[in-house]
Amino acid sequence: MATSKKIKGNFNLTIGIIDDRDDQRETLKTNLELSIPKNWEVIDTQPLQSVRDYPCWITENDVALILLDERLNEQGRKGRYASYKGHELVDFIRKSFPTFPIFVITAYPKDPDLIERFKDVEEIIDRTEFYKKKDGYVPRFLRAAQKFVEAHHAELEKLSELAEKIAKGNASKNELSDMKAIQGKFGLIFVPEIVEERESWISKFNEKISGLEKLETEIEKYLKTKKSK
Amino acid sequence: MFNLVGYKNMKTTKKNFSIDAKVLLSLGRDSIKDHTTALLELVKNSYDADATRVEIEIFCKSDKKYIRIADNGSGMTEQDIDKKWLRIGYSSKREDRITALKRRRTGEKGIGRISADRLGATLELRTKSENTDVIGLQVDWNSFDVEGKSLFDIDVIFFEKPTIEIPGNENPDEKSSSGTELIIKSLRQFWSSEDLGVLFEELAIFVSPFKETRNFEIFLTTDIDSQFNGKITTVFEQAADAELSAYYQGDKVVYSIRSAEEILKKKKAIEEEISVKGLMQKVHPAKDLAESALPNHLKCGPVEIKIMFYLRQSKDLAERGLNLKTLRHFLDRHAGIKIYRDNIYVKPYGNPNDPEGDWLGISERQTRDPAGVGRESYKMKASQIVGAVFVGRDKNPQLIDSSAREGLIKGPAFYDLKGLVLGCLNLLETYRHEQTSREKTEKKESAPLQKIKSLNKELSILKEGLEKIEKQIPEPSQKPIKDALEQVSKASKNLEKTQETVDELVSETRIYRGLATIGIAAAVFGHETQSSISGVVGAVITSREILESKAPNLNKAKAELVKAEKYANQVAAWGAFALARVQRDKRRLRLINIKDVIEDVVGYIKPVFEAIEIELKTKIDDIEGRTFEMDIEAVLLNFLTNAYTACQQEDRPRKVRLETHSKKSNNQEGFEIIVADSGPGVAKKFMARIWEPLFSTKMDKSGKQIGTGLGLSIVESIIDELDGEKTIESDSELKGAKFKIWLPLKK
Repeated sequence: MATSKKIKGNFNLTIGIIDDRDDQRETLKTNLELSIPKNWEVIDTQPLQSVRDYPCWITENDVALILLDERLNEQGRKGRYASYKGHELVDFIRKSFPTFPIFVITAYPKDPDLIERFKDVEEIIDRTEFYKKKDGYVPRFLRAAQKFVEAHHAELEKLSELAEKIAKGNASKNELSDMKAIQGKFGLIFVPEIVEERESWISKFNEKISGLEKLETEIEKYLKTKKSK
Repeated sequence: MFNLVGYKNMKTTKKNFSIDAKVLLSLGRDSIKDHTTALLELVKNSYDADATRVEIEIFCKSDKKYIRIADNGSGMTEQDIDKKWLRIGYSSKREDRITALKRRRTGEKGIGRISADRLGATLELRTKSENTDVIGLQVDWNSFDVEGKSLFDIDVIFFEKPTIEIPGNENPDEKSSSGTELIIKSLRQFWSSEDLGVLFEELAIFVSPFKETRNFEIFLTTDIDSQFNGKITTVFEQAADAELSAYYQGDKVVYSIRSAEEILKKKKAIEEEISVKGLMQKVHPAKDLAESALPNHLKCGPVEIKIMFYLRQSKDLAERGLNLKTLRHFLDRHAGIKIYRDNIYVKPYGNPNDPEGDWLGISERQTRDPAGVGRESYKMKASQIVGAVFVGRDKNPQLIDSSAREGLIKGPAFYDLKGLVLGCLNLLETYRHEQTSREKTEKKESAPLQKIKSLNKELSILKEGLEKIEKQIPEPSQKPIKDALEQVSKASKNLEKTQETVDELVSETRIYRGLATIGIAAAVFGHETQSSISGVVGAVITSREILESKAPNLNKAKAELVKAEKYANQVAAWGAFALARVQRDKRRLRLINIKDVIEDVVGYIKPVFEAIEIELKTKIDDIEGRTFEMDIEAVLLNFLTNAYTACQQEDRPRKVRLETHSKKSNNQEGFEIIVADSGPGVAKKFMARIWEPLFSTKMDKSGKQIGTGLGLSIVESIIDELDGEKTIESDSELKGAKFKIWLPLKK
């Protein structure tokens, strides 16, 4: 895939699977891995605690497309279950990433809530049909993901770079405002909160440290004067 | 005009009509039905004078016989006495129908004062208006009662320096500088206890149904019957057909609703809660208003609300000791939802005679959508509602008096208050609607089988009776008895035949019930089956592709095949289960092992439960007996289907407990099935309704009904038919619903 190499840069072309059933998720992952080019990656996750956690998951893992199940609360982790269904996640992601490719793969494609979101997703696919017509579906996934990355890769690359700097705590003021601008474009409304939180935490931490340092020098001074006496 | 002692005599040069004083009295007397009506006329005068407190004394037994009516109303000036009171037939009520307190004046004919004559021969009147001295006068009605005496010759005696006792003046808060006191002596009639009873009820019309308010209080003192002593309280409170009490604070409204029966029996109602958001959603059901736009808190501050609903029908009124006429009078006076601040009425809210009285737009909303009680959007009529909204100056500083006019400033706090009250009205309306639809279903005919059984019982009692009579009477007279006995046994035989037919029909119903249950279960568990099918297909194809790849990972391929096998077994089990439910002998009454039947069902259901991580624990006793296997399965399957749905609605470990054990009820052998789950449970208010056909509490997050509402009504029909018992409560262990049924078992 020449084009993908050309645009790839720091990005991995990644497909993300979100499904609560471990069995089904693993089968889908194994199956996809058999059919995608080598430079592509498939990652999977159980439903995250809140829909608000997805923008981070998507940017941190450079996910370029998601395959989503509808009933996300059938299996849980240690007796805790997702409080949302696939269509609710679609609603949320659409607000943050208007052009992000989403495919729904479900055993029950006629679910009325899903049908209502027909315009919001690339496709609602019957899980059985998917396995039977995989050769038709997989190239469509790849094209959709590639199209998204091509359109946004410059910003995404920058975003990833900035995110790393900010996380390490050595971003300049200009870089911070760049970050905000890009986030604004993608509608990543929740990341700034986290960044600001982290920033303020670090500055508080620094204050404490410098306080302690002052204290240390004063103690040393005191001890010296005592000794000299 | 009267001839006034101490006043200038009338001087006239023209000839006048003359009128006999007696005529005047007879006019008055004719228009006043009895002495309670007469007294009521005088109380009406106090009401019209904007009094807030009236004292009535009726003393008949002791030596001093008198009636005293005193109020803290506006009183009369000298001019009022001269121009109005002494002018018979004059009625300020005709000229100005609304008083300063916005009361609609009650009397009209201007004969109220003549009522005093109906009560006693002499009248002493003392009155004081705000800025004048006390005026006192005495009228001797007997002097009217002389043939041929002209009206102009009647003397009215004015007291020199009279004093007056104004009610409530001992309390500095209520001190009034005006009032009127009437003392009637030489009573014309004795007052009985019954008379006082009638008076009491009529006086109650004037009194606000809310104990807390001090609008118009009447105090009665009498030596006739001590039970009437004290403040007149309303009797109309207990005539309400539904009543809501609500309290708003913070982000929720706590409320309770009582039915007519509960009000009458003074039963306490169950308290329920609704969030402010939830309540506001009822007021603004428009879809375009996003949920997030609705407030969590109301700006009006804590508020207490009481709303009573009156059907205005004579049905059931008699048992509450009332009649429709007095109720209507009461409603004419009190209908509307009034605001009381520190228990004092805030004008003009809730006054039907003021253009701004209908502050909630109750009439308008009812006119816009005059839906009857059978419809979900049912609205009450303004004339059927009596309500009070209690606020306080300290509690609700955001509700500010308007300086431009009477009432409150129409700011955000006022609009929030409006929304709150309309929301509460809506709760009451929903309650009435649901209550009515419940009554409708309760009225359904009892099952035909039950009817036949009771008929059979009656016939056998009749037969026994006839046989006893037959033995007691001599042979020759026995023929009619023998004929009757023959008729009875014929009827009995016919009944047997009918029973057979009904039995056949019941067996048919049994099949329908069984099929419907499988249908419901298929709809609920169907998704699981579809998941399993896609699981088989996915795992098989993936496994094949692994094996066909260049370097096949055999472990992965094997893992996929193991999954495929598991899913395939699930699909197969579900098919077998559905088929097994409708086997022919399951429909017949036969000896079965209950444990086997239940374990069989559980065996099929368990994997479906496990697929969504529901732990199904069972404790099944060994029970044997004669019953209908299909019914047991239908009950069990419906309970389990409900539990399956319920468990998914809570974010906690999913658990279902199934227990069965032998149990006697009323000395009858039987057994109990208990199914408890970790779901959200059933709200108390729905507990009585969940057995109704088409009623379902299964909702998704957006409030769409997702259940069919058939499952539990099938269970109920089985219990009814087999003479069983049912209960629903919440389960202390799993925190969800606990369904319990008992069915009889023949050995």
